[in-house]
Amino acid sequence: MRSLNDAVARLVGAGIALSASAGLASAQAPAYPPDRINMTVAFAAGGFVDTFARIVGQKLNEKWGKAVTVENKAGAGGNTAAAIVAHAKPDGLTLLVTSTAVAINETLYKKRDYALDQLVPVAIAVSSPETIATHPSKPGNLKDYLAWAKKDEITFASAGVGSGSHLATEYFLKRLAMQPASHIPFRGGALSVQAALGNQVDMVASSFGIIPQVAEGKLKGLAVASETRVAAMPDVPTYTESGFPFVAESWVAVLAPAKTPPAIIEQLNAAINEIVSEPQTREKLLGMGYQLHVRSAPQVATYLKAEVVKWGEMVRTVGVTVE
Amino acid sequence: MSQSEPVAPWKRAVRSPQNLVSGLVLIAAAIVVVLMLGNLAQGTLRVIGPAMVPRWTAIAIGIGGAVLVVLSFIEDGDALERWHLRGPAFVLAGIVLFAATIREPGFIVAAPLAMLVAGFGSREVRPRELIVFALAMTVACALLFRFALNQPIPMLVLPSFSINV
Amino acid sequence: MELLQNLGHGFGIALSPTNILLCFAGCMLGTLIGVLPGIGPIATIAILLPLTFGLDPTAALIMLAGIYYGAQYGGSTASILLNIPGESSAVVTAIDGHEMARQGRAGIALGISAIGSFVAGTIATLVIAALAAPLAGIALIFGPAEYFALMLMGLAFAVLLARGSVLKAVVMILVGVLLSTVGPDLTTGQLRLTFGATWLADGIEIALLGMGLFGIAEVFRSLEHGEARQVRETHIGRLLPGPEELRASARPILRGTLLGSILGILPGNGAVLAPYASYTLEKKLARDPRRFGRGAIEGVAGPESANNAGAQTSFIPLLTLGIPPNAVMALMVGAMTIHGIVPGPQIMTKMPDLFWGLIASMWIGNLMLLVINLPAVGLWVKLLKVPYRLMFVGIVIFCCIGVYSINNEPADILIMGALAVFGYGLTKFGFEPAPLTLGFVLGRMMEENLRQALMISRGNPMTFVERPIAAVLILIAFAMLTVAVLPAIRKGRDEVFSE
Repeated sequence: MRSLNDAVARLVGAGIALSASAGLASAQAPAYPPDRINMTVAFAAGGFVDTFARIVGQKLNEKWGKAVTVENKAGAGGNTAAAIVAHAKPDGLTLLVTSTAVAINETLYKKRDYALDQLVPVAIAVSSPETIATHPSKPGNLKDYLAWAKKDEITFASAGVGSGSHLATEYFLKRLAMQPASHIPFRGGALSVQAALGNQVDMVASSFGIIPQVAEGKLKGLAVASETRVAAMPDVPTYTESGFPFVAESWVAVLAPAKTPPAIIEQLNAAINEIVSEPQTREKLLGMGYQLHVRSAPQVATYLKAEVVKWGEMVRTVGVTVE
Repeated sequence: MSQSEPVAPWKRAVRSPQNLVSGLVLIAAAIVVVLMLGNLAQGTLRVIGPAMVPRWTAIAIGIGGAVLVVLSFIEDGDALERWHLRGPAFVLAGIVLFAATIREPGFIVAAPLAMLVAGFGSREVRPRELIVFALAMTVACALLFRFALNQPIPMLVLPSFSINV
Repeated sequence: MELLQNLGHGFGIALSPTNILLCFAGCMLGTLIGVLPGIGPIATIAILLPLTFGLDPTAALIMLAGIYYGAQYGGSTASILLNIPGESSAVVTAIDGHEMARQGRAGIALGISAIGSFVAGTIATLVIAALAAPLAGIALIFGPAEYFALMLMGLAFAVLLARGSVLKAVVMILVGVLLSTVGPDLTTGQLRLTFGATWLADGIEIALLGMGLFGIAEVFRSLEHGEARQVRETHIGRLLPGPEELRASARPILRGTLLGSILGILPGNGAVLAPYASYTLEKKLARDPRRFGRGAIEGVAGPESANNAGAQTSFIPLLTLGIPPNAVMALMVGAMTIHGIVPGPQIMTKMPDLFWGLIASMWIGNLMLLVINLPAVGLWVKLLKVPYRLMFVGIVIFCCIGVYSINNEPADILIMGALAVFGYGLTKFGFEPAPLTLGFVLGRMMEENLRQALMISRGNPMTFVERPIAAVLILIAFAMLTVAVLPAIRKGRDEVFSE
């Protein structure tokens, strides 16, 4: 844990330096916002990344009176969309909306058509902690659960290999809880939740998608990997409360091509922060179980750098790579 | 086949050329797939690797091909059918042109180009009629897909004139 | 009766002028995009999503649901008239539906598909209203082992689906399974059979397969004969099904509805199997199975009803479990979340307006679609009067646009071209593309569920025997294979291979 924190501190410094130098890079400022903004979503329509993109797109449209199109470019675990935006003109016209995958893929993928420094983060305003839950017929308290599980290797379902839920949970089970476990990947979070509802697997790992099932009592939440409990499922303790200091959150990030003028980044950052702070939107997002964060552009850059390090450590510990 | 012409003995032995050729193609395809999967792990029954299902599927296809080859010497079947090249050639050319021009210079060029070329795939083609049809369809599709259905299809992209519609 | 009371409440909400109007708009738009190949309900709903922000959530969902089942109705139109199936369910309809159109019975095929869909929609709506809650629990019994067995049974159907040789049908299924493995492996993320090409790195879209293997390949075949196709332009025949056809279709429609309703409840997208299962069932029950593939009306009525029933009951896992069974339903989850509704078990009790309003609107939507579609039949049939030398140009351009709009990827258009050549080659060698499509649709799910099941059982293959539902399904699969293969082996002659 200590080495991780050190690395984070070092990278935080580097991140600040980097964002500062990016700020000096360009000075010309065309009229912004332009007539049309295109948000490229790295995942299929209907997921939490897409939902957030469409909420923000709609609000930006209302705010600025300019057309905002949302386009889904799913593929290669989010890399397809990232590569498109990384190579787009840095004029603030093209934005990437993606998830924790953009940080994970830095370490996870052997080959990509872009590098993260070709992108600059605009906002990371919503998150949801990685959560583990189990069927109500099993022990509903993390300590009891681990005591029950000790006898055998448990099965846990997630939205896919290399997903944040997979990595965080395998990292926790094998590294922190010393619990043998085998990961069962499903095609998407919904099917993994279904497997837990039907008691087909011992545990399910998910983030945004699991909240309704836990809140309803159809599944028992074992732990959430955030600093504090989640408002939508107040009965579920944090890992830290259960004696395992562990934080891993799934978030939605908006990024732009790296050479985008800082003034535009600032403007977009401010707009998105305003949107998530609007009482009506705020209430809606909180009701869905999202955690909200208002961060300035440099803060976002720092946070992203730290996340790359943190998830990279988990990827290496779990030992997966993807082509 | 007329009696006077000498026929190669292997040709006479083949009673279903269609099955023979398709069997051979299947065997070849199966071999290619198995070779392509060479670097992937088969895995165990507990943890099936990425290669297991495609590899055994390909092997089964190869066996199916082999049975077809054997059957082609035993059972009477259809002769090889003639391939007509005109239609596929022009239609494919149209499809390729569409793919090549849709991003740049965009739909307004790609659509009529593809339709004009593909139209010659029919022997009854009437060039003047085809031109009118292609232009009308281009306008209709542009209105339908871009404006009525709001699809992000690039209409006209000419970077040198900084046109991007 | 609580049910009637609830339904009455629902109709009260669904029959408000705004909701009727939105339902109608959704149905019209859905029909339109269903007819156009490639532009599926997913893209359309995604684009319309922000436009529904201003609406009340129930109204928004009513409209989006209208698009969804409108697209189901519309999808059959393109496959019957032009043999361009845009999705896997339409592939089945195309087999006999397009054959009917070539015989000048396009109107009857379109009519029976609309009527069948309406009957199926009505019954499925009642099923949802009455049984949603108890059925949801049953769906959860299905784990990976059961899904694997179900898919295996589906593949056994495909053997019976074929007109010609059983051997060739089996090979086609296997080729379909093989094609479905192209792309990243779910368990390890490794790429398979992509030739190192990035545009194959995410596998092949089903819509490409439909448009290439069927749509464009059909164009290739038709161009061989020149205007010999005139035949179908000259006599179009009766526009709507008569009493005789209705009588022949009544039972297939009911059986299809039953199959579709059951399969639609399964959260793992069991609905994709429904049209195939219904087609097989009808072919097996028919006194003269040889008519199938040659324009049998039961081959349109059954699968169309099964498809629509499945589309309706897919709402059960969404509304009761919060689990979306397919991509469109996943989008509905997105739509609900945007409106601040958390889809899940509580919807029925906490939001009765939304739940019952949506259900009532399903029936209204189906009625509207019948009203929209029956008069449209005449219009669609007139479309066939366009000379083929121009018609095929239109088909080609619609397929190109449709394929491009899926991913905005020009390489997809080239894949469609390659698949078209492949499809043309298949018919030249006496193979049929329909079993391949089913193999493709089920292949990926089958592999994934097999691997999940074995991981869960810790490598014990007995899991498929010990779990009763899985065992029964596998038994049925083998019984069906035996039925299909035995006569061929016994007589050992090719005539028997082609029923």
